[in-house]
Amino acid sequence: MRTGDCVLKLRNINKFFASTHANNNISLTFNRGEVRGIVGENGSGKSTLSSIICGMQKADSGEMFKDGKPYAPKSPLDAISNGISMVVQELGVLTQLTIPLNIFIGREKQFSKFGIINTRKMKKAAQRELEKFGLGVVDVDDYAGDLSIEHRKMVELTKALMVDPDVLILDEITQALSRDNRDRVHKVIHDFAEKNKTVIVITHDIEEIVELADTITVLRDGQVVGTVKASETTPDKIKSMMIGRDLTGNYYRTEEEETRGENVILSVKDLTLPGVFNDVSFDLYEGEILAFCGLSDAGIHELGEAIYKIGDKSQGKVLTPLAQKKEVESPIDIIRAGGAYLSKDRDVAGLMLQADIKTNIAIPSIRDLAKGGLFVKPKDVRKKAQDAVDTFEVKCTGIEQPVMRLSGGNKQKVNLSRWLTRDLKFIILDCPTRGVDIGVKEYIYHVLAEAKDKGIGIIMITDELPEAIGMADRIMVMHKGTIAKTIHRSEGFTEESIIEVMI
Amino acid sequence: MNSRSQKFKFKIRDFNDVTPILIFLIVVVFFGIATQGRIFSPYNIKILIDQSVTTLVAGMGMIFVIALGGTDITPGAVAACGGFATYLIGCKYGILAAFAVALLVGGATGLLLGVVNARFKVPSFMASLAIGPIALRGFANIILQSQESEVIITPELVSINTFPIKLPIVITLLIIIVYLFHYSPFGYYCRAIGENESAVRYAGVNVRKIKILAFLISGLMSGFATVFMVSRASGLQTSLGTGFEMNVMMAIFVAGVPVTGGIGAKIYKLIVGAFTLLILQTGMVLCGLTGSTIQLVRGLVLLSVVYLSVTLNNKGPEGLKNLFPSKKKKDTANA
Amino acid sequence: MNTANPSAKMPPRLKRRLIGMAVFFAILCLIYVVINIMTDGKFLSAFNIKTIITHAVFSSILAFGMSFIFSAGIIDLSIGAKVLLASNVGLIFAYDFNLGYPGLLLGTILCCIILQLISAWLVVSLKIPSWIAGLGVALVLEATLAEYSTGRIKSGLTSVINMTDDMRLFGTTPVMFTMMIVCFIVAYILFNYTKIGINLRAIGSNASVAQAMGVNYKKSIFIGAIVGAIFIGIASVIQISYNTKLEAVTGLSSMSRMFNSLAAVLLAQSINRIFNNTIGILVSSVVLMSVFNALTMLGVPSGTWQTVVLGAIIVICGILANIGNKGVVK
Repeated sequence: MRTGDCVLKLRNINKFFASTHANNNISLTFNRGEVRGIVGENGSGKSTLSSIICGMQKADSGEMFKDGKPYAPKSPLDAISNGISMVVQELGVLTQLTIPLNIFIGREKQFSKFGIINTRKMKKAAQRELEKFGLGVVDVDDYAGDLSIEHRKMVELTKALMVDPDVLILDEITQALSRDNRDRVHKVIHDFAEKNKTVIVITHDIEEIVELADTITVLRDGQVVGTVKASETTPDKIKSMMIGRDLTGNYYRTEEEETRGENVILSVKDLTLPGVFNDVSFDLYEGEILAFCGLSDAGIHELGEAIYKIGDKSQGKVLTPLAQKKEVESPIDIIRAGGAYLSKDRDVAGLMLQADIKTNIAIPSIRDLAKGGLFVKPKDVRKKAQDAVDTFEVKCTGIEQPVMRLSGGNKQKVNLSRWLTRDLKFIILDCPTRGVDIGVKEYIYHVLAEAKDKGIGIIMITDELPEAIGMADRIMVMHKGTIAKTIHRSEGFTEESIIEVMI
Repeated sequence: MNSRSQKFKFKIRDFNDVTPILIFLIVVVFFGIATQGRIFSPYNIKILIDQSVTTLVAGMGMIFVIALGGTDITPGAVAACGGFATYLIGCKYGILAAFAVALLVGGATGLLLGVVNARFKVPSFMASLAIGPIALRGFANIILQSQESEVIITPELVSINTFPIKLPIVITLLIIIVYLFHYSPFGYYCRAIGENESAVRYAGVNVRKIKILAFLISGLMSGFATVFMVSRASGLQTSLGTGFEMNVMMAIFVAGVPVTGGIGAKIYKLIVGAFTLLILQTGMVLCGLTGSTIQLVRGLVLLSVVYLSVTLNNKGPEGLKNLFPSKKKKDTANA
Repeated sequence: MNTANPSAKMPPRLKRRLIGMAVFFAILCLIYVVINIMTDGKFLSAFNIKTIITHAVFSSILAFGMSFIFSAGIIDLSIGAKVLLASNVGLIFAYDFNLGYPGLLLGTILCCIILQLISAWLVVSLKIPSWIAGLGVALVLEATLAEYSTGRIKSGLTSVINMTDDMRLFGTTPVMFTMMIVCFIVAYILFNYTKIGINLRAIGSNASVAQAMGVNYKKSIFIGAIVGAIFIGIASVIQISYNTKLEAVTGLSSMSRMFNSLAAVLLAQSINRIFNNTIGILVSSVVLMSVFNALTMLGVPSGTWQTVVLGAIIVICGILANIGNKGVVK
């Protein structure tokens, strides 16, 4: 660990949201040149803490000190002027403004004379900054809305780096990035730390942070459990600190053999999405877990949507041999064939956040709940919702609670339960454990294993290699739009063998 | 934990469910006193119910669009254009022809609006503004100007305006709409789309079809309302239907239906809202206020009630303190 | 964006813009030439072009003002009522208070500013959805002017003050044209090259992200209201000078006064891939007025088929603007 002076000190930070004690007497010290990881389950208080440090919220009590002097930012801009900048977790670009404006908004003064802003100078400056951090592939003439999600994140990162902060906070930045961009960001972090600056990385990816950070602070239920040196710990130890107990039993499946049923439940033939993936063909068997892995440009996520036939741009066939209608032409065909699809963007394409749990669970099945397809009895809706909540042990105050009040893990439970309580033959899951804390992750793997035993075919699209390795019978690795390799469980999965084809 | 909430089924979780009734009571009491009880006379109550019909009928259709999160400001124009057509054809060919024409105009408008919005992705506010108050009114004027001689309304048409005909029709419509809105998959989908359209799409629902249907229903109900409006008119006036859509929207929003729709959209709110506004209006007339004063009050009422509805729903009673912009930054509850 | 091949660059944005502009004007010229032939050369005569642009002055300046309000995502339907009320207030300052031209300008513009700030307060502090706030304010303002008018009639006066010929400077062609050009330049600079313009557009793009980036939402909306109100005030002065009187209306009829400008703002948004927003507003205003002018020349009566055409144009532009739109549209 690079030791330096203390650059940021937090003392007894407390923050309440109604009755929730989100940050409970948090005291931490950050040194110059240090890469600190902050990990914790959903609801542990990481995002609250980071938003207090970067000026987006005020603590209810406690003090902060920057370079020994009292530090109480009134806004993110105020924090930046104190040398602390942050890349937020949610997407933070203005889609209808150009990239230079996105980068320099709030700091246009340097380009303005008598109130008039010199946009050409701003553009050149933006270009320079992007190239300085190796992110020059972005075209500064573009509107931020034209960029891919990854490139938008890179723009945000440039913006945060550009002010040459003493402390850089990255909240879940690598979640949205493919491996190559992830490596780029890691390099940026290391270079930054070399210059005796501090980087605070908030993440769910334990394996990544153990590699990346010098020290790791674990939060649980709003309190600091401990701060350990990365070199002296292991991911498993971190995970137990996060949950507060030793991980019992197996996280993933224990069998080393692949198993599957006899019948093909879903068959994909020459599925092509021009510009994204080509001629993908495979069969999914009953009771089989088939995983797809790849970088963000491999096309794995778009493949899932194409199988669901939700856009109408894909070519090729998706067949359900055991259903009444053999060829799938739209999402309703998948559903009628006993299938389901869960998007990786659960808050956008999965749940209705302001609505209650009851309505969220009911919607996919409302037609089936209706007597004769026409009349829906509120009693039936309540029963279905309550059953789902009970079966999946969703932590909530009742089925009338708005879904947005649940933690990420419980939201995902609601999301899954909507489908898994139906009579399913197969299910397509995209990043099923994204943004989900360890306890619920374990639960989800358990549920999937149970589903497999019941004969349900599962397609699991994931960018978490350990998850694929742990759960799948077969892994199909995609690279730039084609299936590069198919590995079977009995052959033995290794991360190396997957990574070498993935990149 | 789960059984606890079942005991308190009527927990005031959602202020928007209670506010409309509260406001209704306040208005009733206030005007009961101000008009010295005159407002409760059988004569005035009959007038109230009479006048409520058009707003209720059109509102029963518009609420589907509002539940989706869309906007439909065509009812006034449908009333004008459809109204003129209905009047002329109804006088010549009878009641059934009148209904047919009105439904045709309303339905065609709704269908067009639905397709333009759902298929061609034009924002519903813009599209309904262009199709309704702009284009349809133009058509209405065309029809009006094509009339050389005066057409007198037939007694048959006027008879639609009587209770024996109106009441059964309205009640039947109400039953059908309540079923459609609250107890059919279609109704659930409409409200779900208002909550999160993408989520509903990804659940395998043909959102486009649902939206078009919702606009169609809205248009058809505007058509129904048009017939009732025409039967009360004494002649063809250019001002037929002006401000009608505002009445309908006010009735819906004043009663606490969120502007973005969703599960907060409920039929009973429309009914409460319509009567609240009507008592307000009638009460003011009985108190001797003039037309422009009444409009002034309506405007202020609209603003106050929506303010109350939005604030109470988001923050509870403490939110009422925030009347003026404060320098303090508000805390946002971050996940 | 072609994520499968990140190194493939799209054609320069500028080139596409120029091509778009060229195509746009080419089609426009073609249509104009055809109409000119159909009207025996009267359409493109100097006199007629002057008429078209004269009509475009009010709607374009009003639209510039609206752009400082609408681009932040605030839909204000009371602007028509504000024009009505403010111009009458200006006349009161000019005649009843005997302040002449300064009174006219001061009264109108000040009134617009105060009213627009109230509208902004309703939306920003009271959190009333903007279009409902607009409707409410329109009802109140119309009623206020109507009460004032009734009062005047009761005292034996005309329903509203009529402007006398010696005060009609702002209704003369050279002044109107100059104002339009000046307003265009000022609006262009303010919208594209100043902090307030950037902030308003940022809020319009994504209000919460803009705030996280340091944009002061409340302050920006209030400043936008003031800037917009100044343009609206100028437009009102021009309108009253041209018309000499603006009568009170009720029942939200005042909205029709802003339809043309609203259409221009919407059209400009739909062609914003080709034209910068402010330029788009100017172009849209002129094109719109020319369309109405052509229709009148071809015998299509206003108030009937012309409004139908306006409606159709808005719908078609809306469709064209949203062709590639895959997102959720309400």
